[in-house]
Parts: sequence; structure tokens; C-alpha cells
Amino acid sequence: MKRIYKIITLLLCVFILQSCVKEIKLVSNYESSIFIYGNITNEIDYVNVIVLQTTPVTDASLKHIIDAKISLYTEHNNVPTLITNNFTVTSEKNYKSSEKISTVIGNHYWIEIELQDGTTFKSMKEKLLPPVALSGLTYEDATLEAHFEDPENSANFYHLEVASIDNIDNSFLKSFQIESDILYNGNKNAFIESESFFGNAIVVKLSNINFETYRFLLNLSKQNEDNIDDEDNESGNPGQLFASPPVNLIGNIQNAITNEKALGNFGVISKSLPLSLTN
Amino acid sequence: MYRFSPTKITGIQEGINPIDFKTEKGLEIAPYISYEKNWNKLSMSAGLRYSWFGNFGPFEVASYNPNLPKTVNTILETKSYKKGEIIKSYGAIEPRLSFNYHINDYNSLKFGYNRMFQYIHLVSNTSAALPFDIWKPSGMYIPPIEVNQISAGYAFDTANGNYNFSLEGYYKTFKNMVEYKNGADLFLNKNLETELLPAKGYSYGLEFAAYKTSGRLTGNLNYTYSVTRRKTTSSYARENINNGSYYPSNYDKPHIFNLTANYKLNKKWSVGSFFTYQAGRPTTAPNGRFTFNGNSYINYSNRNGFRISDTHRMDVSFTYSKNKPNRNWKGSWSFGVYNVYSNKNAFSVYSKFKNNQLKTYQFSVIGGAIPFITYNFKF
Repeated sequence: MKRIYKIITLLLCVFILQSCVKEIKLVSNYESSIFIYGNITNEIDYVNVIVLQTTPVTDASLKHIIDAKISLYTEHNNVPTLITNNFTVTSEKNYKSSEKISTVIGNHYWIEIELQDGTTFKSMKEKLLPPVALSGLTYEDATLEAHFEDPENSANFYHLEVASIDNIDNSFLKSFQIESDILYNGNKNAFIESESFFGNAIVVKLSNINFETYRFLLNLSKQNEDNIDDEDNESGNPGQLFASPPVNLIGNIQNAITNEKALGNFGVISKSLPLSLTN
Repeated sequence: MYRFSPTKITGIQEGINPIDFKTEKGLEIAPYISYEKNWNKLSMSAGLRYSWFGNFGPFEVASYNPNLPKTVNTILETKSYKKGEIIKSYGAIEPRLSFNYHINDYNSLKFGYNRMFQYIHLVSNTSAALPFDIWKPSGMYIPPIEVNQISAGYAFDTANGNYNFSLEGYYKTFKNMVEYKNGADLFLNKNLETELLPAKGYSYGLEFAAYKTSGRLTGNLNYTYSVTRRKTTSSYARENINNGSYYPSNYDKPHIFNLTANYKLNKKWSVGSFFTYQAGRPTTAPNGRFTFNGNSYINYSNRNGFRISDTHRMDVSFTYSKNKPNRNWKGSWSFGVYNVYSNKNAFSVYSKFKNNQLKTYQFSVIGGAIPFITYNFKF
């Protein structure tokens, strides 16, 4: 009898597990959209903006838009001021401000993008928050901890940038991590863990970012994780049963006429001074 | 009395705060009266239910800047409610009324109206039910769902009673539903209302059913045509899903056809089969791509802008019953195959990049035919 049970169990497993996932043809129509991305920081630096047009899902080419007009604005005490509308297109087909821009903590910043056909996009006014200083870095069990004091009485959102440098083969890799302070709001010993680095030296910066930018960068990293076909990714989540629904990469940019949200984000980011660690 | 205990994180290392979302408490009271009356061919059933729901402290509720969308950044202050203090209460009258008119012994008409309120909300945005799906009581920012429904139907029995037919139509409206925002982060979220949007909707449909209730061959046939739409109604246009227009709900399946048949082979054996055909449910599909910082990203269609493929399957079973007439215990063995022709029905469809090419996959929960044996009994 035992042999019969084994055969029945085996047959059941074969029946149930036979190829549950199969590749199919995607049924959808291409709809062109504009993606806009840029940042302004508390560091005196050029402001770069990228404007792309989406392509059909079968077309992996890059479609830059290089004939748009970009304007950068600030606002202090409810008085808006044009900082610059002098942007040049670089060899990488990005827009770069013709001069370095210095910023003021507490002021609001935003951009306006006018396409050739008159369509105008505008990012939401975001405030340049005070930077949150890194108080130290520790490295243990292949895990880096970046320590800082999280401000009390406010929801804070962070972008941790870890630059790994290998002096032997001169390779360089930047990785980033997005966090909210839900687990350490107001904690004087708050820390963010990171495992994504290599080499013999690392340089870490902590950026204090606004909510819309946080949400955009979080969705960007989520798409990165979810959309790469990696066999290991399937374990524990067959058929993406437990995944949340698809997320569009919309941030703080919207069509100035229709108020519809557009793809992309213009972040107003306050960076800490860098801390480094060497082996 | 309801108690919701969402999350508690304790005893972790220095640098991480303990998290206690506090138990949410709710009380629902609903007295009900009903009245039935029969006239010659007409019967009426009327009911009136008054429901009251209160959400109680101790609990903390955030208040938001009324001029901006609700986000964690637009919280103005957090108010603490004491034990037993009412945070928000709702009261509603839920009438129901139905008429049944017997035209003759074989034909009847019916009409019904009812209004219902639901005070508990399931807040989930995954394809499958999860242990960390969130149940949320109505409260300061989430009012109860209101459903109004009217329905009308016609039923016909043949003179010998062997066949019954019915045709029924309905129209429903939904108010105060919640939908999740694009990229909503529901996990470990103390301010769930910041991830939700108010929504309304409607649904209508027509159901046809036929039954054969006697003879060696018995069974039934059902066909339903239905439409279910939702629309988010945030006062901030940029938050609304699909620019504030109506879109199919996650459960919108316009066509559902079911056929059940049982044939008695002899006194001990019978054979049964079940066939179902359902239109595919809505899904959000890629409709563009772009490359940024060396990584490829997908631009998705409007929410639920497409449908996964239609599903169908057939189950077959043989039933053996040998029962002695004067015994209370009645049992039967069934041997059968579920999904007999091994159709790979799509449960979910998703797209991923493989070698920078976008590939689309269909996931089937059951990939083939599954045999089964069951024993049914009653006593």
C-alpha cells in the first residue's frame, strides 16, 4: 500500500507543478509619454535635466528630446524668481544649466519644461530642507551602517548614496538606498544599513529629500527590483502573486494645463557632507 | 464589537524605535424590523435596519492641511482620543423592499430594492490574499461603503415542474469606496488614509439561469453579463486614477457561463461534470518603455486598461453511493479530475526585462489536470 501512496503523491505533484508560468504575447497599445528627471541640491553645482520620450515596448532605443525650453525658478516669502532659463544640451543629450547654481536652505525650487509643440510641464515647488549630518560609519559582518540623528517632530525621507572605490583596478560603483524615518523617527542613534558596495574605500552621503521625491525614488527602485527577470526573484513569489500592482514612475511633475501627472521628478535635495571609510 | 490589532514591533536594537499601531476598536449596533404581507397573487416583504457604527479611543488620529492632498508631509497635528471616547460615528437607515407577483402557477415576477452600509474595509493591493492584508474600520477619514441596489426578475417553471428558468437584472451604485494611490505603500503605515483615495462606482448585470431538476439527467446552466466600474473622486485632480474617469474594477468579469450536469448511470453510480467559462479580469499592462541611468523602465497603461485572457475549465467526476434505506448514515465516494483537459488558465500576467527585452508571462495557479477522491457523508 505504501508504494501506491508514493505513486499517487508523485503523480499529484507532477500534475500540480507542471509549467505554471509561460511566456505570452503582450497585448497592449503604445502610448507616447514624456519622462523628465533632474535635481537641484544644496551644493553649488550645475543643474542637469533629462527629457525622454517613451518608446514602444519592443524598441530599446533612447529617444531624447533636445529642443525643449527649461526654466528654473525659486520662491522665497511667496515671491517667485526665475533663476535661469539658460540651459545647453550636452553631448549626452541632457540639459545642463550654463552656470553653477547656489541655493538657499528653506527656499522652494521648481522647473518648467516647454516642448516644441507648446506642451508645458511643471514640477511641484519643493522646499530645500536642512541637511541631516552623518555622525559616523560602521562596518561589521559585510554590512555598512550610516549613523545620524533623525530630527524630531517631522516625517523625514532619506536618500543614502554609497560610492564604492576599488583602488586596485580603479573601478567605481554608486548605489543608493531610499528610506523613511518610520522606524527611527526622532531617534538620536538612527542608522541606515547598506550591503551594496565593494572595493577598499567607500564614500557615503545622506540626502534629506521631500516626500514626493522619496516616493518617486522608491518606485524607481521597486521597478528596478521587480522588472528584472531573475530566476532567484521568483522564489517565494510565484507569478508575482504577492507583488503590489504595477507602479508608474510619476513624481512631482505635471502637465501645466491639464494638471495630469507626468512621468519623472525634479528633486530638491539637501546633501550631508560626505563621510568615508577605508579597509 | 470589533478589535483590530495591526502591528507591533518591539525589542529591536538601539537606533530603531518600537512600533505599536494600537488596537482600533469599533462597535456596530443594528436593530431590525420586518413586515411581510400576502395578497392574492402578490406578496411583499419589507424591512428596515438602522445601523450605527462608532470608532473608539484610545487612538491617535492625524489632521491634515485641508488645502493639500493627504500625505505624511501635510499632517498638521495628531489628536489623542481617550479610552472610550468616540472618534467618529456613523448612523444609517437601511431599507429593503421586495415584491413577488405570481402571474399563475408557472410564471412569476419579482422586484427588489435595498440599501446596505459596510463599516469594515479590506485594504489590500496584492493579487492574492496575504496574512498582512489590512482590515480597517470606518473612521475619521474612511466613511462606510454605501450600496444601493435595485433588481427585477422573471421566473418560469414548466407545467411538469421538470424545468425552471429565471432571468434577473440588477443595478447597483457604490459610494465611499477606497482605492489605493499609484505606488501605495500600505505596509507599516500608521496613516493609511494618505495612501487611499475616495472612490465611487456602479455595477449592472443580467443573469439567466435554467434548471432541470428531475429525471436521470439533472443540472443547471447560468450565464451572467455584468459591468463593474469605479472612479476616484479626490478633490486634487492630479491624485485621481486614470485622470478621474471610470475604469473597470479588479473584479469586473463581463461574461460568466457555468454548466453543471449529472447523469445517473444506475442505482449506485452517477457521472457529473462542471464547465465554466469566464471573461478575463482587468489588468494594467506596459504600453511603453524608456532607459534611464542605464536601467530600463516600463510605462504602464491606465489602471486596468487591459484584460488577461478568458479562462475556462471542465471537471468530471464519478460518484458511487451504496446506502441502505433504513440507515441514517448516508455516504458516497467521488472520483474525478479537476480541469480535465488541462487548460492553463491565467491567474496573473506580468512583464519583466530579460536581456533588455521586455517579456510577458502568464501565471496559472494550476498548470494541469488534478485527480481527486472525496468521501461525502450526512447523518
